[in-house]
Amino acid sequence: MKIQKQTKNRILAVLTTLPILIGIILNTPLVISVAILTFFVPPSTYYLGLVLMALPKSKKEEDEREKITFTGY
Amino acid sequence: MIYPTAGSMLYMLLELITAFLFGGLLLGLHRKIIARIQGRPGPPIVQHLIHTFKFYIKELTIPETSSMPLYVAIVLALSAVWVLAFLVGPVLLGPFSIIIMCYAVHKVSEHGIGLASGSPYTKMGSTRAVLSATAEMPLIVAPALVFFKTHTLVLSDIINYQILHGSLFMDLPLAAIATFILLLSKTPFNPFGIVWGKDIVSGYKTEHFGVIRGVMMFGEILGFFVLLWCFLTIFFGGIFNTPLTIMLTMIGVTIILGFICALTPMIAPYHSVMIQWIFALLALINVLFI
Repeated sequence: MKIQKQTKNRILAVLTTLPILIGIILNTPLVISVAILTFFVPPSTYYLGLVLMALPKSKKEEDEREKITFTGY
Repeated sequence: MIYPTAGSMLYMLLELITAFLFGGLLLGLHRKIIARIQGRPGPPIVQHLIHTFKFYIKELTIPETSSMPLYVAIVLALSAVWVLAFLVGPVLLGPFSIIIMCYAVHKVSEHGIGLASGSPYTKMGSTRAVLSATAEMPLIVAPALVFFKTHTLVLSDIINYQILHGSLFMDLPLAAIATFILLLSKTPFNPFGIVWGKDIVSGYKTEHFGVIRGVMMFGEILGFFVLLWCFLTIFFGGIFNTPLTIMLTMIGVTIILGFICALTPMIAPYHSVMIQWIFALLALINVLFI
């Protein structure tokens, strides 16, 4: 089964943001907090950005996306 | 209820966001000053931040010639390096040596970003990143002199030393100037910015657009903030040691950097390296005052 790109990005956005949220809730020790922030802040911003990027910006754009993709002459 | 106590992850995350926003405004101010000196109205001060956020909703394009895993991973590494430097430096006042290591890895990241896309412009940018790495002598000379003077490289101890004995700028003025040149070389539109010179389009950044550019700009804003903070803390830690004074001084130094960047043309790659070496060697004269 092939996962859609958008779904994959959403899963990865959740997976990379989750450790930060868990760290905040559990109040992890300093070294673990530094490690979590260093390793997970850049990928979480990246995947959240990818999810944001794929969201339709307006109703018009949403309608445009539903149209059949141009396949060439 | 979770409260952001010092040392907690929420506290560090809030500091990270604050530094990113403040660093973005500083770079916006820098650009505004350059524009005003050149007789242009220039973009608003928040433009650099808007620019960064804008990239987050723009489509990501990855060139066919690129090495895909490296193309994304190296930019994430660049951001991670500056996040670590920020946490170790301004947040925890930890060892300065880790920040130097982060800076060195950031140079490697610049090289990797240039190589990953496969474009000749970015490759030229990455080659220049290696060349400019040889010009980072002030980064070795200045901490060495600070260490011999204070017998420590832990930032909190360096600040305490300066509170007791006065700012290190008075003892090591040439080392401070050499570090200022290093700071200048990391500022946008600077005379030593051969890595992203317009003669090679945008250097190693030429092929990076969309979300990945946003992540890159996030890292660069943090990097600028960290370097500016380190410069002020190491050499003026005796005077500027409260958040408000540091922020006001950061604005002042950004204005000075803006003037320099606006009034000096970009110099040739080899001259850029040579000038930074001269300042590093001049800084060695400070050995006499230790």
